[in-house]
Amino acid sequence: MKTPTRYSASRRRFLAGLAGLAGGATGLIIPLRLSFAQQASGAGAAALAQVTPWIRIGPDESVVLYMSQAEMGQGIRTGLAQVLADELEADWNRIRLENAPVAAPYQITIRGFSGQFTAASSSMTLLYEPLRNAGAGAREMLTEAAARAWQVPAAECVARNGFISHKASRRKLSYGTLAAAASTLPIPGNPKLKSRGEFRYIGKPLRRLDTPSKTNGSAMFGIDVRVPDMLHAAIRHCPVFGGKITGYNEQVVKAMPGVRAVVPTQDALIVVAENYWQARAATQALALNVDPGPAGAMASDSLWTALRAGLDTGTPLVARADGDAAQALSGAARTIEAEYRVPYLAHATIEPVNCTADVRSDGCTIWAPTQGPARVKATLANMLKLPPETIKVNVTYVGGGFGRKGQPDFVIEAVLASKAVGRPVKLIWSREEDMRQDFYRPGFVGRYRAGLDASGNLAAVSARIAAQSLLAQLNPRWLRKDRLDETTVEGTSDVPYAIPNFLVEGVNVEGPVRLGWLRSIGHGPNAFMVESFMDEVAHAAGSDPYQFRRVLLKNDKRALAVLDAAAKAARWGRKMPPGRALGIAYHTYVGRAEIYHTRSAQVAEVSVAADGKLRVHSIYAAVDCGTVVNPRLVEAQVQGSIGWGLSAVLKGKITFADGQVQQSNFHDYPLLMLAEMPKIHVKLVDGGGPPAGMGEGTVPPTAPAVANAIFAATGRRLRSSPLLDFDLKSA
Amino acid sequence: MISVNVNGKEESIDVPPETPLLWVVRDSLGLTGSKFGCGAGLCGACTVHVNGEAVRSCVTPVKDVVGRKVTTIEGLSPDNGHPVQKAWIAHDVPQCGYCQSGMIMAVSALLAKKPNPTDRDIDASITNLCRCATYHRIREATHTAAKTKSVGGRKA
Repeated sequence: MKTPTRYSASRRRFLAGLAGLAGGATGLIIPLRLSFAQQASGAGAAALAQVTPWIRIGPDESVVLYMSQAEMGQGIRTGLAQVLADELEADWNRIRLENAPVAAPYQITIRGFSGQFTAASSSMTLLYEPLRNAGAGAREMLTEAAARAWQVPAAECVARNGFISHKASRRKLSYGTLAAAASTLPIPGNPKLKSRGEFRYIGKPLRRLDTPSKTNGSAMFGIDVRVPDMLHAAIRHCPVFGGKITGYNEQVVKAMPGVRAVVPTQDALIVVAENYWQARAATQALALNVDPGPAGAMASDSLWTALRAGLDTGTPLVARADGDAAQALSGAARTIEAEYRVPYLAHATIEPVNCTADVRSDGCTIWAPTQGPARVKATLANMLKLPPETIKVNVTYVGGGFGRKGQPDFVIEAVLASKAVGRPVKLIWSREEDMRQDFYRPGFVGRYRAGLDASGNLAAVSARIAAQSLLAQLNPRWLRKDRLDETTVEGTSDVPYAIPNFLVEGVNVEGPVRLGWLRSIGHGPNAFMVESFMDEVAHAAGSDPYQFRRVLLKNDKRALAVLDAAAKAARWGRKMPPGRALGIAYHTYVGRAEIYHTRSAQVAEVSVAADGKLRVHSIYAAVDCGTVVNPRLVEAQVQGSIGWGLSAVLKGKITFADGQVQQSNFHDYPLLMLAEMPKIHVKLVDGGGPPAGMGEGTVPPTAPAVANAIFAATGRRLRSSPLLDFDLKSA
Repeated sequence: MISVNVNGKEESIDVPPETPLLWVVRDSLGLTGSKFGCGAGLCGACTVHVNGEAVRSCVTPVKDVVGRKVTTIEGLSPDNGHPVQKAWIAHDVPQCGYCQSGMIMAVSALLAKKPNPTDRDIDASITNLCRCATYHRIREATHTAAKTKSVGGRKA
């Protein structure tokens, strides 16, 4: 209940805003409906009232919701709009989405790192409460505006679907009418939020807002940007990690049709031309001279040798030590040991990285499918020595991100090109460059040992995992003091299994490969290793893999509920014909800085034919991600994550020779095809609590579920991926 | 100068005849619905119709379509009214959406040839890549569109 005196708005401003309602109390008649031209120009902008930084409402009743997060297929813009619109009590049919500028009100923070970024599956988790507050606050401001206009208590007014009404006097005013006045009121610090039962949009399977434009070709991705006077650019980087381009076919290339300039950067040559095809052709004629540098002899074999050696001779950093695993293992009735490895992976977004940049002497505008607009803005301000407010970052639709498009490298390149030629430049990387100049998911090796007691119970697990350190390259401040890299061990070190003696160690191994955040980070690799291992231990103990895990999850009711739901959906234990079997895996995805826990279990149903052909028929997935803002979007994320994870486990690998990536396009970095997509059954388990991240949460269990199913079907234990590298022909 | 018929319009383009149709459509004509994903005919994001057939425009020199009718996603309908587009919307098929223009063109070409495709037909014909793995909804929407067309929906 709020009374007018709580608001300390300037009376004159408020009356001016009300003038249109009260028939010109100040002598000014402010038209309620401005023409579109007046709205578009600054003069009319006041009528499209900025009620809060997240919400603008126009006299035509349009409700503009500002989107700080990038839409890359996860549906976050629809989800966040639902949250804002529900508390606001807006008419869903009036919603319009616009990009938020890079500015303070839109920042989110993970472990002291503040900015505007779409990463770590953190968007809904971090913005759910702030947006509920923003929507509710605006609702209260609109209510107050109506209450003052009617001279009634705000408590007697009701907000509903774009209108404030006063039942007793049977009066009603639309948001469009009230918005100007409301925008002069201070934003409530502690608005009243809806109860769960009052939600009209949150929790509902509303349709995606971006589907129509993605169905008729009108949705604008970064690669589609067109600005007047624009030139086009293509790029070739030094193909060897850490090497240098020492020369190229300068005279030939500069004389090619349409070529305007060749712009060298620290590790690349950018060719600027009249159109993309000319730029592309010119990059193919560069005939690069390369000084390979220290990594020139690097190859996959040497990398794996170094990683495996790291397990024995590297410095093990303790990530978890419960009980005394070493002692328990030495006294175990039976020990099981296995070593696993997962390869380096590329992001392979179907939209290759690209950016359009327009650099002027007094400012810079860029358009890009970026996951990190704040970082881009700060980087460019610093690089160009311009005030940050002169840098404008336009975030387009993102044709696949998976972490790659959070790097500002391709933006910097476009900016350098534009600066060099004095015109806007659209830089597009070729698929070959995108594949070979990625920021890769590192390869992992893991050695796991388990000890069973005389009754076959799991008494101890010791795990040591080695990888190049991701954090050492990308965010050294997040390394622990002794340089333990949490991303190397996450997914093993935080398993919710009740293992009385549990040691997990991470080893950082030096390597020349450029690394990046790739969807599921360390969880994907670790889940493949630890859940394959748990399966091996279960079989060694003579236990059913599902029941074995049930016992270990006894202290975690939410995990148990999810595991049980997946097993039930799959009808675990049913009889299957020879060559066909089920495999199970569980994973708790602990979000970065523990901002959420997403719990998921999957059962894979596979068959392996006599000729070795593998088919993944079905995946039964259960997930507890707390509050579900849109079950349709969440289900799509589960299915998409599984399909994405299948590409990785079945086919994905990046290999190296002569210091270079060997893969270059989709013929040698194949992806899952439509014909290979299994039936995916999704069960959402309501564990309560705030929304947990779904961008990555259900990626990890797929790989081990499939590997475990292959074992059950064939007796073959595959301890590395890609699984299709193995010949599964029966002997 | 090369003369091409795109979405029912005769266009005169000043590009070398070897220029891939994809770049003519995107850069010369400003029709950016057809996408660049690989430049090697491997992903299908660039799929257009040439005389009704699904063609990967990134590996099709523009000279090869002279005298033929090219249809891009923009030309499929003025208003998302094609049965495949309607099915796409009904099933909320797209996620990131980048592959979807090519998918829709591939599926609409399939349905023009095989109005009631089986799952086997779909598996064999639709080889476009989707990194978001919307494949199951693509399959469902294809069946839905087939049903619509067979009860007198708008022809491709």
